[in-house]
Amino acid sequence: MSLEDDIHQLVLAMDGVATVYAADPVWLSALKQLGSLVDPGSGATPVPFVVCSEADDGGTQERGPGPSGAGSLGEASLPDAASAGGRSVMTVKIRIGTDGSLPAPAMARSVAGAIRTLVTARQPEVQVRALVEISAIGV
Amino acid sequence: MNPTHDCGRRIEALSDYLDSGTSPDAEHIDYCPQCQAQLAGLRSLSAAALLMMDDDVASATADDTGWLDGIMANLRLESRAGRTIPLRGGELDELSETEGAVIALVRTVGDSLGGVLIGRCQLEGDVSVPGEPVEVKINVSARYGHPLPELAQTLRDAVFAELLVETELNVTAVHVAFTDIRPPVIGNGSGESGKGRS
Repeated sequence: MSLEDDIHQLVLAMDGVATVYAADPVWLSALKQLGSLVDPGSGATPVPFVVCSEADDGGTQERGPGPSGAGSLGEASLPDAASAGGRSVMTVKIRIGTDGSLPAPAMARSVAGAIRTLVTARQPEVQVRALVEISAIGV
Repeated sequence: MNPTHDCGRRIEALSDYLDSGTSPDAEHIDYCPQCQAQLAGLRSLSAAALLMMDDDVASATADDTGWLDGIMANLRLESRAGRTIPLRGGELDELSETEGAVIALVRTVGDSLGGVLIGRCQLEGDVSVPGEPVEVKINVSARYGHPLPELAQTLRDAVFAELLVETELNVTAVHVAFTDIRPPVIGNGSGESGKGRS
């Protein structure tokens, strides 16, 4: 499984998380679908639940299938994260719904921490910047 | 009013999806928070409409359904993600809640109280700046027979308590305005009473 898939499964399994929503806004999903149609070598682009993009001196590059580009979460400030202290920064974007068993702000922090732990274990050379949006709050 | 919301899905399409359970756009709808919020609202609305029919209110004059129009209008509003509400997090991280999620929360809290249906709900203040004072304004449709001052206080307390737990907003006031009174339920009294939040 890819890193994105692992993060998706990790977050879905966390207590207090009801669901993980598509990470990209509709327009970006449509753009990616269009990109997959234009590129004869690629199949249909799956709905991305987690978007990982790595920033280095060359700028931000999104991982995974489809055309690269910024998503809706934190896209305005992505360049700020480029290579902190000589280490490249991986930005991980995710949108979740909570089930109400834990406070939403704590859930956001918990999810960010879990993502950081997973990514750092896989790629110790990168710093992790988690963009977590609570899109629905359960009670 | 433009019935199109943020993600471009029309409320009519979502209503069809709710009725039929199928849609060529099902993959998007299942994973889109805006669509899910709107579906949840449509379900609440459907339950309220069924109650109206039970009460034989469906045949009442058009004026009696004004609250329904208000709820429909707000449903479209709250299905938008709205402003981004920042949450405290690590130095590199960017954590947030959407305004739409918070408004939907307020609606859920209100609707879970017996005799209340939440109409328009607004967060007034700069929610994008941590610590800025925010006032919550809620329009409410109440069932006749419930003492309104007590109902307002119960709703205020419940909304305050939930926002304190689920957000980091500096909520300075919750204003409740009763904009409609619905006829009492005749019969067994079952129906829209809430799930009895503790």
